[in-house]
Amino acid sequence: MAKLSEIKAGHRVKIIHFGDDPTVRFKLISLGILPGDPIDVISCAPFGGPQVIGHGEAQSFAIRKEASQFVEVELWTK
Amino acid sequence: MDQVTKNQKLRLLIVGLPNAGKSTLFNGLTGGNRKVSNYSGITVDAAFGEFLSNEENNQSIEIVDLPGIYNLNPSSSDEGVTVATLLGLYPQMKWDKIIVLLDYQRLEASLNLALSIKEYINDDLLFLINKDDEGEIKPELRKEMQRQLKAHILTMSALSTDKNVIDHFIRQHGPTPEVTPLKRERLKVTPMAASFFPAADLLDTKELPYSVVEGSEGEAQVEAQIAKELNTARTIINSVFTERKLAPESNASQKIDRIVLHPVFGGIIFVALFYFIFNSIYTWAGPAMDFTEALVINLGNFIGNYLPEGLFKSLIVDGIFAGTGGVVIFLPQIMVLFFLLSLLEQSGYISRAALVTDKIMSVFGLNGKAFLPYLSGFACAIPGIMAARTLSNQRERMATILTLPLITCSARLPVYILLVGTFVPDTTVLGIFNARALSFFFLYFLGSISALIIAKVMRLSVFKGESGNFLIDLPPYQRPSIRVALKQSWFKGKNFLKKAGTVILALSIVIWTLSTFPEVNQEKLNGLSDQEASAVRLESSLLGQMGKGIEPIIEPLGMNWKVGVGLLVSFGARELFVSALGTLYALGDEVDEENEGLREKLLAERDPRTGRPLFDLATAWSILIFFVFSLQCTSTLAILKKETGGWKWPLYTLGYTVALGYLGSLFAYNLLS
Repeated sequence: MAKLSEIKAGHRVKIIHFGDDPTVRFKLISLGILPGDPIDVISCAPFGGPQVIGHGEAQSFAIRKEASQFVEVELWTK
Repeated sequence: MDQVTKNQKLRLLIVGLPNAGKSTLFNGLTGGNRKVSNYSGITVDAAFGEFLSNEENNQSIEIVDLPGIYNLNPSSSDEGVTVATLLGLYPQMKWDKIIVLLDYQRLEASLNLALSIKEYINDDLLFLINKDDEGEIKPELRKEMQRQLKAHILTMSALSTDKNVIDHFIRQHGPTPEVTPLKRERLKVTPMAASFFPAADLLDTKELPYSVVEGSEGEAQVEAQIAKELNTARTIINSVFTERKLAPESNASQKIDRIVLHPVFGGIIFVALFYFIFNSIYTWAGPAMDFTEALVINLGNFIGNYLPEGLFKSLIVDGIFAGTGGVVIFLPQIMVLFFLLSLLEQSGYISRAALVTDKIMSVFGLNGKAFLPYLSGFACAIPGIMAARTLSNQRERMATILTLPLITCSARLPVYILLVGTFVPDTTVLGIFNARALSFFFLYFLGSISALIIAKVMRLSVFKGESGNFLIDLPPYQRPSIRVALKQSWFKGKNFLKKAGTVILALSIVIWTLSTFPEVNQEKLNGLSDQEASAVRLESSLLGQMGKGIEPIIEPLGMNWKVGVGLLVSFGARELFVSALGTLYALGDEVDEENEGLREKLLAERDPRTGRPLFDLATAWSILIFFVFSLQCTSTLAILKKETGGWKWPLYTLGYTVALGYLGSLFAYNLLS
């Protein structure tokens, strides 16, 4: 298990647990993501900025590392 | 706004995810000029519009465009507006039917929202599924969805679907004569979400249409509430679609983002783009501005030739042409700026820029989402302050809006261009930089960095507290439309001219009046040359006396009483500084036949005692620095009052910016003279 914030660009991971911040949890579910779903880390913004995340739908989103450090993930294996 | 609902007008709400295309739909149906852009959260206030087809129909329909939401637990004040409207918490905002606009490219998230509205607000909904650009939803799929969702559905593409088809669909299914009872499973919200609703004591209902659930127990209940609808949404989608093909842009967007949001290239691209924009404002608009200026001066002189000498001629030439004309000549800059910003906004880059700047912003205790408000602030602080409603953290929002007036807005541009263009030599410094371009860059930089530093100071003192969490959508990149950008630029240009033609014109006349009356007794002028006589008249006018009155305060800054008058009037609106100087210098001249602009007059003015130029580089910079900091804009004060709910924060902002301006100006003058 790893923190989402530690995942480098180009990897696909599976969400294990959203973490404790209710706003992050509500928002991620509202974007259409549930624990167990795969997500892709597309890139990491300059200066240690937010991570860009892609998931099943057509729109990616970005998450600050302060928030993504609470999201527990593991590498996606088919 | 309530009187109109009585005469049987139907009021429909459009609700959907941010960036689902609500504003485009609104514009299509109403012909309204609501701003459309590819950035989540640009719709910060509800917009009302009448259907274009109302004229040929008995039933009048009004449509309301609400800020986008993700779920019924708002996390910012603009989301709060939408959810509170849906729940009927605003007594004056009654509605008849909800149109849910779904985004086919984000169908799970859209359906999740649609289902919660159906469950917790009202189950009589109209569904429009937008962005089905390739016609992926075949008629039988649509029928199957209709059956499962028990609602009328229209699939469409806001880009290509005929507006009449949408209009007809809404007219056919929208008006329901019988009032549908609200079917409401009681909505659970967290205390944080409830804080974005209007205060309970303002409501006329005894019982609130929602329950506030507290603690981690409550959070778990809200989470289960949202997840339940998502699971239902997935079940429906899986049973209807065997395979859902997403737009090719989404793949392309991810590829572009790998470069644009690359840890190294991302920063370089960002700086290069914004340098290009600011550079274009001066290089492209420069010739157009010279042309407009020549046009205004010549027209003024031409008309002046046909008018008899006297007060009326003076009012036209010195009051209206010199005053308003001085402001009108900045139209090209405004239009170029908004044209380029519109292209950038439409492309989807603005939300990427928020990411690139997020880390820097967080150093100053702000959020990357504050980038859009600050960027809008380069045009005008007012839209910037309004756009800050998308910031979910109240302290970050306050620090953002109270420092926004420091961002160099377009009203400062006339002052900067006048002074830099007149007093900074057009030379090359450090080998490659133009001294004037560098001065502009410095002025913009000084304003922006001060805004960030003061925001930091506020975040460490008055607005101390945690940062908001950061989660932002990245809509797919789109090819920007030149037509939309031209329209946007024309619209802003028109508004600018309107302001010049009304407020600035009226105030120019007031300034002329105040600087012409009371008239001096003719005997006092005997024996004086024409030029001396005009100077005496001006000095003894009401405005002259006011300027003289504040001269002791501004003398340490190297400013004379004429500049003092300019400063006084600029507190109404910054452009008036240029109008006032235009009028004062036009009146001060003995005759009007010289064909010269304000710039030449400023350069030519001499101190009567020493014979040396009154204006030099030190004076110019002293004025410039004052304008960098000082909040001189009554409209900004008014919007600050509205957004912060009282006079305390506007006055606080006015106080600190003017103090900074005075001190900065004092420093600059003493350094350079």
